[in-house]
Amino acid sequence: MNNFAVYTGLLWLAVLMYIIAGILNAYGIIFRKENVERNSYRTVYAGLLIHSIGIGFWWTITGHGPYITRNEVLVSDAWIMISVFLVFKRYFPVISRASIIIIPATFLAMALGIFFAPEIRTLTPIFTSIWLIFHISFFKIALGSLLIALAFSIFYILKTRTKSKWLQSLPELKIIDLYAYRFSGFGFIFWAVAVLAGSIWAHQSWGRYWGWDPVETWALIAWVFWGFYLHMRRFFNWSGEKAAYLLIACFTISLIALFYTSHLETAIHLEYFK
Amino acid sequence: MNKFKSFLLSRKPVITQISLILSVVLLGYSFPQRFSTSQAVIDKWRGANPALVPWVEKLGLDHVYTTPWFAVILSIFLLTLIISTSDQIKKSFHLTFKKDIFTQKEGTIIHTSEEALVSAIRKKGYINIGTYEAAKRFVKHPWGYCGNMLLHLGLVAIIASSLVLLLTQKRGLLHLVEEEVQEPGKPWTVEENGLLADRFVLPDAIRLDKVNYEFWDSDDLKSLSSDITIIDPQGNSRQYKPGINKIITYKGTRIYQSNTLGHAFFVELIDKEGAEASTILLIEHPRRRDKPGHGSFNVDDLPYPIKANYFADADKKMMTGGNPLLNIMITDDKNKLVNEVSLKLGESGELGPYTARLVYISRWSGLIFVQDPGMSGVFFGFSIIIIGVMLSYFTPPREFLIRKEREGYSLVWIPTKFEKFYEEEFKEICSSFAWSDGK
Repeated sequence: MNNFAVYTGLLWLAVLMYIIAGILNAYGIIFRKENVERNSYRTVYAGLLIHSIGIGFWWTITGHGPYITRNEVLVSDAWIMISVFLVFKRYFPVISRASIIIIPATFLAMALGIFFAPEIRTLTPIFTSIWLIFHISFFKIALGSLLIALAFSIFYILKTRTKSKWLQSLPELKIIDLYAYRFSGFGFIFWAVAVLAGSIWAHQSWGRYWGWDPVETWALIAWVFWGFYLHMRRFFNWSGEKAAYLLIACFTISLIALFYTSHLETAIHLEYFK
Repeated sequence: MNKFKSFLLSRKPVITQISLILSVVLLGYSFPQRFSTSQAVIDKWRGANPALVPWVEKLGLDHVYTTPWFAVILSIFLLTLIISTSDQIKKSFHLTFKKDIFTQKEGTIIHTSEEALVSAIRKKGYINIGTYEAAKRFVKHPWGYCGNMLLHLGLVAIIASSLVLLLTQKRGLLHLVEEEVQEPGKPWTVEENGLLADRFVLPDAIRLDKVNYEFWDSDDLKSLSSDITIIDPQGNSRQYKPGINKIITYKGTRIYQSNTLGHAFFVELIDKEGAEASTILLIEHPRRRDKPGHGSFNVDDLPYPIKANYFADADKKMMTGGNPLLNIMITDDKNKLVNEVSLKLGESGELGPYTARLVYISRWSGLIFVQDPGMSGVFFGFSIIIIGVMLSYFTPPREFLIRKEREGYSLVWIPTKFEKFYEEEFKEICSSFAWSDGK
């Protein structure tokens, strides 16, 4: 069996585990079956283990981390999304309900990643900086945190607007709102660290810390929007549904910044995907 | 002064300033910028938008971030931030060490001794900040009060440093061929200076001795560095080896290895009358062994524009072969091919009315020279912002005030943020002792 088949096989197996976990998890939460919900996490951990083996295996084949091809980027995004959620869940058990959004987001990102066939790309010298690793890792961690914030904003809107029984198992609206606020704050910090690491990397590689290329500009725009969201909450007492919609808008801008702009013609970051 | 300050810090001017900066970003996004776009793309854009060209030239819309009006907008924003930061410094000092700790909040009466209550509060991580008017004040994470101040301070540092850079930075790019010497004062391949900066002059002469590169089997670049010699006016020389991500600093100038490299083809052209014209064609290295690297040239005394491309290896089997194949094409005014010839080293061939001979092949690479005082201020500012935001979100301060009452101690809990997350701290202390409502 060749390396590509092993890698793709492992990824599909992980996707399958996540899908099963997602179904069990949703069933457990909606029908309040605690046992089923607990088992869904066992399946998530099994999926994460296979997912990690897949990434590790591919790392040994390519000789670099999972951040060069589209496949690698999406597969590692999915890994960090679910890992960030599991780590935060240990410290903030209340966020466990966000799994109903995080697990499907994970297997969707994985599946999308697999559709971009894996290829072995060698590392050009510009990509060998340690700051690049920080730059990429913190963007992924920021995405994981913001996804949790998004989940809570969606919960807020659903709980306000619908009468579904399962939503009653969620914490009270005030708490849901606070978690959206808090995790967007975490995301904002990680996003800032990612931008800083990126500018240090650019400075080290090209002699300029900021080049106003589309990816940089959109990363800054997204960060400013998150800053605006936090500012409105902190100093203008925005909360509830209004804040939830603003958070969804900020998350959409972040997705554009992370996944769309890097494919624009003029982006230095396009080098990644050539 | 106070009126000016409150005007500058009021909502409308602040929103206007932020909107202006975002508009500049939008302009930079809409108009091709000189420093990030090739001349060919800019020329194409100008051809397609002739009505906008005068505006581009008048307002500097093709280099918005280095225009005087952008510097003015940044300066006003910086002034606003400085004023706001000084307010934030006073505010965080007041919040940390305030003496007017009277609160409207009703306290819960705790029936225990002061020692027991203080010990319980301390166990929760609260620190005694002071006693004022018989009330003791305990704060958890008092440094959290510095969060906003640091955030503002960081923004000031970034914008001030960016302004210094905008005004004073000097950047120059050189494309040097092996053995070529660049004397101080000679023109750069590309030069980009701050608004108030003088011409950028190299500190000493630089000679490119050798370009070193390797490619992976996949044809991607594996490593790139240049052996250079810097020669001072006394004739003393020192060798350096800048590489990608390996920066050299010499007399306050940082030297970067650019990721541009290629071959320089020394071509001799002889016309029917025997008149000779020589030219050096610097062409970027092909990205793949089976795909050529391209270049366009206008050679003095030659009526035809020249287009040229080359394969790194004439057999197209490797990226680093010593046997490149050069194709030279001459075109007419309408870009129509007039004639072409393929040459290897030492070969000659007919190229329209000329006999072309490939005399010599060498390597070239790009070196970037930068003087940018203020750079460390940008990174310092960014780090300060991150620390500020972290203090604000990871360590939000909350306080306990205790005051002796007739039947026990009045305990007031004041969270500054995320009250619901931390209210257990208060509840746990109350439940450890007998308590009653303070009303």
